[in-house]
Amino acid sequence: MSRGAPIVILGAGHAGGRSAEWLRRLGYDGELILLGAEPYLPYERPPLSKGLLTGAQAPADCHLQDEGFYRDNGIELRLGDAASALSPRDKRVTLADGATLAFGKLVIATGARPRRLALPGGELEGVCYLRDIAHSLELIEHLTPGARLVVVGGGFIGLEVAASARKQGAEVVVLEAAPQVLGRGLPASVAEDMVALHAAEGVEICTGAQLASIEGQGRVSAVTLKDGTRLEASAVLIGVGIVPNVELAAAAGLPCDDGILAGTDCATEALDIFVVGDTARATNARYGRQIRLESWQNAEQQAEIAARAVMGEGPRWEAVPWVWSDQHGWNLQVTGFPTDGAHFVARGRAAEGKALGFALDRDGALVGATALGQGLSAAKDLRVAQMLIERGARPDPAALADPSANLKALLKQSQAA
Amino acid sequence: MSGWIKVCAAEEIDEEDVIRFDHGGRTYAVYYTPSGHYATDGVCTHEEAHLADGLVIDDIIECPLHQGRFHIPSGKAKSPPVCVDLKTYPVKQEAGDLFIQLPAV
Repeated sequence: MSRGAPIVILGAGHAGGRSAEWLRRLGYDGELILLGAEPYLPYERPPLSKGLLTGAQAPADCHLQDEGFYRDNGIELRLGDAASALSPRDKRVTLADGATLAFGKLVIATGARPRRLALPGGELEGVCYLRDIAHSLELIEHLTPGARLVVVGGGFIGLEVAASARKQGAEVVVLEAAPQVLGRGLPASVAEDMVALHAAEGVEICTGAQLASIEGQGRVSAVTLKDGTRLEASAVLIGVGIVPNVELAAAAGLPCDDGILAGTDCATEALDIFVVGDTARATNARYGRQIRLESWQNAEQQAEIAARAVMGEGPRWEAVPWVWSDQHGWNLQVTGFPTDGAHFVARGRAAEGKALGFALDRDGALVGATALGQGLSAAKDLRVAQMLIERGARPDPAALADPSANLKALLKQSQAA
Repeated sequence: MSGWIKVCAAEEIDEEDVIRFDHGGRTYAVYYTPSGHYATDGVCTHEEAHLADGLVIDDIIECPLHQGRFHIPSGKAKSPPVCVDLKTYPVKQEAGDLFIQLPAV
């Protein structure tokens, strides 16, 4: 690739860091600048709600690479330096101090921020959000034995924090406004299994519970629900989703719609500008529509896609989504779009240690799957399901439902078909 | 002392599968792939996960935690996020039993 203006990556999170790695792996040998608003080396976020909160992992354990890696690979890290403006036409970004930086190609990896709840008491000390290492380190201070944590939002973040806080000896109540937890993409049966796991560990989950206000003198002492219920609290964790950081791109005129829009190669409408990770709404070639994913897998994969596009390789993003969550020693994995199914097939039960769920469309094609198991006992099965989806397989529902039937055999059948 | 340690009867590992084998305070993964029996360290080089919970396809083991891939016969890391190779150990079959050769401690 010809030398010239540097490749600049805006955002040194998981997707941004991996984009830099991929560019070097693919042979780009020009100037490479990674700009990050946070003071930390690029890191993975899964430990923030788990290992970091329980003390099993330290911030440095989350780093994608150590500092020497960036030095050795000629990746210029500018941490604590966020861009304030972008000019696609001049191919320049403006930095916080007003200086401008020319780029040959730009990868936007600005990520997302927690959705804030505008509530009375929302600014009290002890009201926490969780998105980055600094949030996690702040939250740890509140997770002491005897603490009373109220978690607002029964999504992955809320339930993982609830599990970690319980492990640290805190009393935990989870408030979910909807009728079921994990409602954004999981069938009710899986949500019920998760609620049962939490109940067994002493975490109380209240669905249909809407927060009205947070109370306290300077710091949190209680929350009040819309039905008048009052719960004592020494801390509140709000986990009600994230908002993609599109402002810079939107102000520069790039098309945005809950994410920065991009094609199957993660290229935006602007020449030589690409987008990856939580803030990208790219066209997934498999599904034929623009999809924004908030996952570890997506940060990994779009980093590769964008880097290949930058290098002119013409990649296509066609991943089948995949996420996991760890709670109370159980691992939940989800692939595809389980709530898109017309028929559901269950295999095994959580009470017996492992519960798989398969979602089939009207034509019998597998479109989604869930796997809940102790430790990683169900991970292998979920991976087979993901591969069946990738192949557009129409597996026999009776075989899917039968715990003694070999799932891998279905994979071989789909290969032969 | 280095030496050959019995793992299990060969028939206890299904084809295209892997089992966990603990010995001397360490964990190994023992595989039966279409090209034969192999052994590697049992824990992924990326993050703590037992490879015996992973999926074997041909000569590839995929970690159950992050789907990083290793080539089983060589232990080579094949796809991100894994970048450090797995240590491999010789395996032999005698009278229907599998043995793994472990280095001196």
